[in-house]
Amino acid sequence: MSAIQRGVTLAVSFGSFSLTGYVPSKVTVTYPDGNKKEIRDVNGAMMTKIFMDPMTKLECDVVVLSTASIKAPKDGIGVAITPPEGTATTMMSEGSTADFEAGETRLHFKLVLEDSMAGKYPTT
Amino acid sequence: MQEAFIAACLYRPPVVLGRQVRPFSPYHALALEAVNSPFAHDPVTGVTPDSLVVAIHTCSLSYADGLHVLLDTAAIQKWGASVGKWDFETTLKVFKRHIADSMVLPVFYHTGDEEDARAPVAWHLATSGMRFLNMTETEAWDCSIAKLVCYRACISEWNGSKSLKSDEEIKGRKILEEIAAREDAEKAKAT
Repeated sequence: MSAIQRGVTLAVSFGSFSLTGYVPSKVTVTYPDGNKKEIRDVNGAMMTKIFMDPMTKLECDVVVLSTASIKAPKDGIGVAITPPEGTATTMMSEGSTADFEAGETRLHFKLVLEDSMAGKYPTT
Repeated sequence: MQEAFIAACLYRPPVVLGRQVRPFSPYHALALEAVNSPFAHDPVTGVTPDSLVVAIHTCSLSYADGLHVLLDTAAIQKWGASVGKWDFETTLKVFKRHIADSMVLPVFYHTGDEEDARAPVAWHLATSGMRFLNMTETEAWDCSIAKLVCYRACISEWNGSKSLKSDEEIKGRKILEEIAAREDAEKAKAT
């Protein structure tokens, strides 16, 4: 995810769209681990921590040129993002939105990549 | 910076047929509609010399001048006659240019599901001047629409809106257009 940052062009695809986009503003990447369990021994000392559903969360705006109307990817749909000189990463859309200006769409992506689900998100 | 933010502060309106017109304001929008001017419609069609004279007269007025001045047809006719010989096409061009230059507005993104305003836009703009900028009624109706929209853009941003197009987004579009043009040229070369 470190290759996705402000000021770069990247390829995005979801549904029937495959577009070159530009990242105009700050990109936020987080690794939430709020859902964790601590395993303790009989004396109450911590033996280990189990992280449940660890994931990477990516939030960014992408400007794309389009004369056709583009709808934001629905929740649960896979969005592939290929950063410059990088390989595609498919993440799951969760709360992405789109807004428009003449001949242009700004996609606000909210994407998650659950470690256990890498590459397994539906594309339509 | 979007050009609109510069133009809103620095635009100086011209003198048309000897009258100093004012930056296009909510009052002008409302008054032109009240006198059924072709300039109240988009696109502007069917402009006659008489309707152009009325529009120039209207756009030289202030809200403080009052209704009696706006509708004083005898005074308008007298002024129109005093102008002497004038070139309709050139004057129309100058006046249209004034409207266009006076109304350079910031560019926003839209979600596509906004509802149309029910009250007239001119009223919304004047109300926003009074409510958010503490203007008097006269100041709000006379403030240029371009300035009111720019002020409103700032207030919306303070309230969390990200609909105003940023410099980086403008830059991004240029980059994407360059990429698209380069790809088109390569395709044309290959075929």
